Amino acid sequence: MSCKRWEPLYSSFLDGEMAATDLQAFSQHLGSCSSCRDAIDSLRRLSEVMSVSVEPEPGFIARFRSRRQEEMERNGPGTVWRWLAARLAPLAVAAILVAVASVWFSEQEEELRELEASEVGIGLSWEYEEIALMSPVLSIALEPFPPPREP
Amino acid sequence: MVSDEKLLSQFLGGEEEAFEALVLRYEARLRRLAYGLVRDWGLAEDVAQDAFIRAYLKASTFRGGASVKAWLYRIAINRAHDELRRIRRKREIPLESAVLPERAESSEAVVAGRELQRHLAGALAEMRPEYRTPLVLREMEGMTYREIAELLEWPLGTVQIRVHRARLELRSRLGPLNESPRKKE
Repeated sequence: MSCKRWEPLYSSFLDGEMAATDLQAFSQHLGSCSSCRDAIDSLRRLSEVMSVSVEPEPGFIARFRSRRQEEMERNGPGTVWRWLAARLAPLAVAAILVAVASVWFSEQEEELRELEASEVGIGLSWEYEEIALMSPVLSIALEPFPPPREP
Repeated sequence: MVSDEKLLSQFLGGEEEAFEALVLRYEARLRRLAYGLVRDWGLAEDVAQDAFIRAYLKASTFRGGASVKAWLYRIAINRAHDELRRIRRKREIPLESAVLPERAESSEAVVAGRELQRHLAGALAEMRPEYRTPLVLREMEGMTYREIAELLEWPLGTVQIRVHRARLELRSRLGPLNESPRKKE
């Protein structure tokens, strides 16, 4: 099979992501094609050249602390306030939500208490009559149904 | 081991040392990633430091859509690209000046290796960022195509094609310097 067919698959072969059927066919092809073998060798060599091992550096964290300090000082109190504001914003939102929720719950509680009081009987009957007097529509609605007409 | 996300949330809750734990966990990886992109250890250190400072100041904007690792990597990649643009504007790009520690050895193999590293630095510097970045993430960070796709927010197929093209481009730029000894003979 021609090398042009295999060239786009070099990387998936190197990265172990080649489909099983392709892998078998390409392995056979590699046995007889020096051009593909050289290409794979040289790409593998590139990977080796590019790989770099890096050890943790003990001084990094100290430099980070001093740069953080510099950054805060260089930008003056504005930065500190912005930083504080950014970090406190979620807390402020949470506090507002709690406050709104507590007001809402206390109102609900008050309404519930009023409703409980009305269920005793006095409040409800008074309100019922008052509303009936004030609203003509409701007064009509409250009147008894006329008796059914005789056919 | 405490997860990255837990450390970040502890930091946002006021525990300063939780962020320092993240710095200690990722400093070597971010330096290596930055080195892969800028090919200069001094610059890589600056990029990694800047990335951590930026993450520190913007920690509250982390939305949790991606991992903390991906977030830090993204900040570092952006910083490295900013740095490369700045250098290019000043025409200071160290095309063939990969800062390698000078050593006393002078065997043929060591000299050839150093020569290859210098040319590699030059070739990578000239490569378009959309090729260089996935190649560095694949070759230096050992990330899978899927991880790179998630980090860069690219389709998986795009990552595969770009990594492959970047390799071929690098191979062609380095030419005989990267030939296998078998072929040289």
